[in-house]
Amino acid sequence: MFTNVFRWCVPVLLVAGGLAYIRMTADPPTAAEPIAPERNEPWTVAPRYDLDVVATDEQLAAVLDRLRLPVSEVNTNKIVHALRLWGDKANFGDDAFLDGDKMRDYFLDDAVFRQIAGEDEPPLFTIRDGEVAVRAWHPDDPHRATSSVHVDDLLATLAEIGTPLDTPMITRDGETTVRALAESAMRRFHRQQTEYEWSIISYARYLFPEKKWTNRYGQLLTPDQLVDELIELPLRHGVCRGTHRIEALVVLQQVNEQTPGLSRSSQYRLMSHLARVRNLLVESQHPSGYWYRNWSAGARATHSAADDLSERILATGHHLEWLALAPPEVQPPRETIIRASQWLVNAMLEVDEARLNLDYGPFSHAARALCLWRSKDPYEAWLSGRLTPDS
Amino acid sequence: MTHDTTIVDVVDPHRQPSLPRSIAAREIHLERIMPAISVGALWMTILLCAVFLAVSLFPLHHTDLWGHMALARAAADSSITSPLLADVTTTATNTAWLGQQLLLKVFDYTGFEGLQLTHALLATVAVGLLILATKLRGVSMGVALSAGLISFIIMLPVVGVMRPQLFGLVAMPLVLCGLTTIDNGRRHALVWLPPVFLLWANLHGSFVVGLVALGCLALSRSWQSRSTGASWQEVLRLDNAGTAWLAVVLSTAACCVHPEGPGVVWQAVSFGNSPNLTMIAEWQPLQIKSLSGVLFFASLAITAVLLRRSSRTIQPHKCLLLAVLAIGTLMAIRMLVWWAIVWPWVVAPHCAACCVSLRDYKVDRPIVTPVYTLIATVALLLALVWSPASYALITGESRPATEALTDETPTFLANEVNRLKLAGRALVPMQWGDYLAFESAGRLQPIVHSHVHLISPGVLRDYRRVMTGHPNWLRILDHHNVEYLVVRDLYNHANGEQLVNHPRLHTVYRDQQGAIFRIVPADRHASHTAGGVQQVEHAATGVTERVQAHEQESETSR
Repeated sequence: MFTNVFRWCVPVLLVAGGLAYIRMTADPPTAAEPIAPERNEPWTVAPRYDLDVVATDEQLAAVLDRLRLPVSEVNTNKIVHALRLWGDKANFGDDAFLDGDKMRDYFLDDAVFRQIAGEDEPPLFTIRDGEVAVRAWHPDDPHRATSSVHVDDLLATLAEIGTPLDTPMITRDGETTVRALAESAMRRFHRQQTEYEWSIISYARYLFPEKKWTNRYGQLLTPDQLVDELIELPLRHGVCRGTHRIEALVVLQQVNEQTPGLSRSSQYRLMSHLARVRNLLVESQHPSGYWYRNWSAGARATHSAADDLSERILATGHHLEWLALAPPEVQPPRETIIRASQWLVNAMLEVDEARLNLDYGPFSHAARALCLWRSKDPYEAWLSGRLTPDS
Repeated sequence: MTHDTTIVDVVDPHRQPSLPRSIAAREIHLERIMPAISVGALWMTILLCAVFLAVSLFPLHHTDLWGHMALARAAADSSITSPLLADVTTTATNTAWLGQQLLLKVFDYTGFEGLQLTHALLATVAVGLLILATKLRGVSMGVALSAGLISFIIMLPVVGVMRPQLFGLVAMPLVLCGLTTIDNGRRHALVWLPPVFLLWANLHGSFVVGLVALGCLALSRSWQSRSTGASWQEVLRLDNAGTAWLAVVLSTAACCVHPEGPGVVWQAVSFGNSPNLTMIAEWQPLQIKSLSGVLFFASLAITAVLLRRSSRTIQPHKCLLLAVLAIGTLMAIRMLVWWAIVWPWVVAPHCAACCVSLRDYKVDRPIVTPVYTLIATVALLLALVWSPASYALITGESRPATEALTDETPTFLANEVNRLKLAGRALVPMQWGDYLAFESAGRLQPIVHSHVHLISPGVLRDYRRVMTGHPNWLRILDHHNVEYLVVRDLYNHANGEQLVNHPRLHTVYRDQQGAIFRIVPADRHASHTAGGVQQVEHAATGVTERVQAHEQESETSR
């Protein structure tokens, strides 16, 4: 009997032993590895063209002059757009307007934030459980004017103005770095997000070609998946009529040119998608040069009740902006660009001050687009306009 | 000197069929340390390992299960408001308390993997017990294994969803074993059947099916006896139908050992009468043009052919049981799982009788070898390693929730509900109600969920009105004091943009799966818009829109 019992124990022991071996040889669960690369500087995504027929120097200076942000504008969304437009080196020499370094420090130093926004404002950044979180816009928040409107737009803007990852950030919860902010953003990212445009732009500029990382939900993410995410949804979906998704694709594509990281199939799909968008833009452009709110309908794009001047400037400015960074293979005909830019210049000069102040964000994109097509730094362009005898 | 094996076989009839010398030598060594099993046992092990592996690949469904666990959590923790009884006008109660508590405990200790592993184990045990129940009817192991496999295939759409009903699928083959033993004149089932029913009644309300099976046996035996002219006294003798009736009585009494008392039997019987169940797909009548319909009607056709060709006579109680289950299945797809268990068990001996090659091939000594045991051990190890759930538990590396749950599960919405600590009544898509209620630990109270028998018909009617875009949908929500509206797939929603821009809806969270809106109370909305300009910043567009108050517009136009 004992022999029988022993013999029946052997298969059980074999299974248990096999499982124990697997347990011992399995990699122990560890804390998530850092995902920020050794590289400290963000990738530069530079304009590719210089078309002086897009806008003259005088026109550029005049448009830009209208987009200096007054100090009285305590609005995080406007400040981040202004910083993106002017950079952190802009010095207007006028206390009535926010200089570049002040705008940058609004995000990097809580003391400056409180100085501008007020002592009673809750912090813009908080540190909890090692993660840096941004105070997100919420309709019921009485402090929503100083919160971040879009997911990871602050991080993307810091990348766009060339802020290194080791740049210190002084928050109310202590000191941290832009690197920690970037890591936290990537850990929070998941593919079900409604807004992922700036998350992907941030990834492209700071972390590419990091092949994969794991988010806080345990999902493995790769750059090819990000391309899928940008392409999959219908064109009409997404912030600012879907234009930021295209911008993210273009940024990713240009960074990939500098350091390959996307698979061939993703590159092919990306370029095909951009070409498709280009064709739709050609079909949907109004003879005057602007694009409608429903530009993605192509030839069927028409005016709607919501298509006011702001909407047209939004659509036209955003499209010109990403086109300035896009490769030649996906460029529309030259006249499409010229018509759009000329309409945009006139619209930006004609729009009234109240409207411009209200819709500062989209208008700043428009101004930036004109500068990109002239391969001019906005601050330099404005400054040269100030220094010419006619200004 | 030649060695005549033929003479040796004749001289020693117990000698096993001879094997090649090399294998025989290895076998002798193995025999010392391992038991020998037959090829039938080997195939049973392989089949059950395959069932285990197949079921463990199913992700956890986003409905039902979470509602059960939400109820269990509320029952165990009085500080948690029962999230699924938000509508207090209904008096329906919950019978599957033990099943719910067990599942909750499994989840609390082992997470998603534990639930998936439990799911796979329950299905495997159910199939294994069915094979044994069929074998008990005197068929070969091959026939019994085939019955188990066919049963698994037919009930796969149901067994693929983890819920307390799976406990019933484990209990039913035990009842079938009891039926066989009682039918064969044995009485030991009177001892172990009642405890099975006691557990079953507390695990899930499907115990009624088991009572019906016992009742079919008792009724048919009584009818058979009475038709031969026996008196009732003779009918009820233990060596006649008395044992079956005693089993029915003892089992029914055991079912009453329940927090609801004897009322649990009536509740389980009348469960199907709830008018709300017509909304649930599995309570709809069986459609012939569906996979379930094809499987069911094919099995009916096979039954007809087998009974015609079989040399065995089908017993009346099995006929009666099949008829009851067939009618039940035609009335509600949900009953197909019980048909899937009982039908192979009934027809297996007839199938064996029809096919000469499947007839019990009685071997004086079936081949048993430790090599089969070794193969079975390897199969078991591979099944445990290849199963994602068991592998995760073995290695200690939990998988992300998005891998363990179906794609339909509102994982990120639930995360956000918890992060923002949203609390209050909510109207959510029915298939999301259970998960959101569970994940929010009762803070968010969906007024509609998949446990429709707990919802009053009025609430369900209003839910359908809102979901189909009734013009007064907001007033309906106000009537039910709903504070949050959860919408699925806002991108493709017919009224998506209107919802985002609605003045009384504030977007709390939005992702590609859905959106959560907070409903501004009607009185607060009215005071905000009276006079002046209301500025609404839309996070989605970043564009500030101006909404002119009605009074100001009227003044300007005058």
